[in-house]
Amino acid sequence: MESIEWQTWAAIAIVALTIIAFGRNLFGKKKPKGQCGGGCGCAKKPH
Amino acid sequence: MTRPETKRRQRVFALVGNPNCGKTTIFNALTGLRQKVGNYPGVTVERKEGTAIDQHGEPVKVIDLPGAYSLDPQSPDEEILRDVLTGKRSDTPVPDAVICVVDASNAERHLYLASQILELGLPTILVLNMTDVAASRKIRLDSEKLSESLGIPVIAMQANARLGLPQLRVAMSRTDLPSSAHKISVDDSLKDLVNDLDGVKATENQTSQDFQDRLIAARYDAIQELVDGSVDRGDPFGETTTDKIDRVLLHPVIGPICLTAVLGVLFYSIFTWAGIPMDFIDSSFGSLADWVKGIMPDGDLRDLITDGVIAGMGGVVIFLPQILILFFFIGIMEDTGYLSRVAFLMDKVMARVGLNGRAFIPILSSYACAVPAIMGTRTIENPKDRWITIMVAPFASCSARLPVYIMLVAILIPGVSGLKKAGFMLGLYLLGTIFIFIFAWIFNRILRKGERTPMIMELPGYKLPSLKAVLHHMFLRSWIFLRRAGTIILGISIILWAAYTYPKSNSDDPSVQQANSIAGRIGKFIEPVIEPLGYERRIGVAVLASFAAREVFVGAMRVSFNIEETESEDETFQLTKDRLASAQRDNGEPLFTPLVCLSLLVFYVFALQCASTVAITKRETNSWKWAAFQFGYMTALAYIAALLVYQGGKLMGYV
Repeated sequence: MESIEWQTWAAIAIVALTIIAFGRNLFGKKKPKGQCGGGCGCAKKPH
Repeated sequence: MTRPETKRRQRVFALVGNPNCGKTTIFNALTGLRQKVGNYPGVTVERKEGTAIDQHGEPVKVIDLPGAYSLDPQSPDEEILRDVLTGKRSDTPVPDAVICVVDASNAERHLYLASQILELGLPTILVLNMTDVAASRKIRLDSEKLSESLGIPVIAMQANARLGLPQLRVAMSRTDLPSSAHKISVDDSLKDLVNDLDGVKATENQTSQDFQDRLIAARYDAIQELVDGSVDRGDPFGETTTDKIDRVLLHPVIGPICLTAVLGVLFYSIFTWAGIPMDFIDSSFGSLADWVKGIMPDGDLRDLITDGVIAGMGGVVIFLPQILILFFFIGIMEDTGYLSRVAFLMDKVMARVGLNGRAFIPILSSYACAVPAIMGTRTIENPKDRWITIMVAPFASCSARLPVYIMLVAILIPGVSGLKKAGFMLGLYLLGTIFIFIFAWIFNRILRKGERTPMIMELPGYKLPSLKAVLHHMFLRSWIFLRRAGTIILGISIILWAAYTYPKSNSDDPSVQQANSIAGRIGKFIEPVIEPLGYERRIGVAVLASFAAREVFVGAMRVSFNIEETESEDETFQLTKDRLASAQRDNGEPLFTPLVCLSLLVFYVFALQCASTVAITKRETNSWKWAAFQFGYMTALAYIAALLVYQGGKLMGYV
């Protein structure tokens, strides 16, 4: 019974993280022109 | 122009040239696997960057810019080329030097762009590529003389055999790389027009157009002068090997026959060869899920891993064989020069609905799977043509629709011969095909108000394909698919699993759990919406479940109607068919009447029930908006069509 409970919590956490990731991707603040915002041209992480 | 100041900044080379000049082959030869592929922000133009090692062992950045015919932009690709070279794009570093690639067998035309680039004043290396093709046409270019005239390094290359690559690396290592001093000469009358541009007449469009035309003519004259001194043409009117092959492949009768044979091989491979690895992938993921079930105790996390994560990953990887095969063939056709001929042959047919000849292969590929087909639209240069093709391609009945068709047709017309059933299925395929053309025509009317830009394309000389380049292209595309679409599909699979798992019921009966879940409740909630189509809650839940992947419909129907799987697939099919055929509504009336089956079939012909297609449309259009639009308009059409079939049939007295 105990193992079922921790598995449920773990599963719910994974589902929640997935929903947050989708939400951020869809509605999150967009960097200017989709870049990192650093203006370095890398289009990825800021320096 | 601003250049970020760093202590020791990596030098940046821009690789430019006309389409089909072998630019990408040079990029691959220089950078190998050290490449990054993405999109320029806000547009669907592909951005390719890589790191090359120069002759001194120093890393240098190489940007493969989109192919263009001139710096006067006619398309987003050409706009990007101009903006990067003139330092107008904040997302791309200003190049320190340019590698300008010219097809040696077609130098006059390709030198037009080269002459514009030289005038930008950036240090430039001119590469005369495809010297083998030029030699086969008895064209000999004197690279030294050309280098003397232009004042920049000129390198003769045969990129597919890596000939000339060391010389290019040496030139790239030079710190004193010169800019060209060559300028086109402007005659006196043109000088007057140049002066006019500062005066009153400059505001008149006519003058501006006249100026443009005369400037183009002057540029071509200058190129001709340059080429005359450096090119030796053996027999300019002699028939080349390409001409001989084209006489067969572009023949009005033999050409289409050859094309049909090539496409026959392509689709035979996609449908049959891909089946073996697809079955293997399917069974491997099944075994992996069984293994996890064996080592983990019963619980939600285990179910999430097996039914959400592993099933989701399996749903992505299973497309790989089809993607690999399609891109292998597209790569071979593109590399040999045949793809341009296919576009040329099909342009007349596709033009009737406003589509481009290059849309033919992606649309045809959609009958196997829309995912590689949408990825294959990258061969369409015109962005509007590409957008229209992406939007209509999923109407083609893909292989995932087949299990749904087989099951519903078996219930709809039981006992008839296989041939009659095949005829009925062909009708369903035809229905999808008709709507490809209808919507292509509608989108063309909206986007271009019916006007069609003529397809201007170059028929490059035939050459032997480079297997390395084809394989590289094939694996790069597959990796992009796995990385980009894979993450989205995995996320969707996890969320769908949760929707079918929570909240939990106390019953062990899967159909009770399904009804109690969020998805089941949504199914009940939408019952009034689906009732006019002839469906009830259990069908609604199965339709909802198959929004992620339509092939799930049959399995979801088994859960909804409590039909157990047996050892044999045929037995399971028979049992499912019989149980569904005898299923009843709450009031005791038969559920799967011919009209309900027809309504469902029509719904599945039009609806975009494929998370992978949604994900890949997002990736290829660079926008969730277009992915949502495609999903929305296809679902709306599916609903209206199913409604018309059911309600129209009832009005006519059918059941």
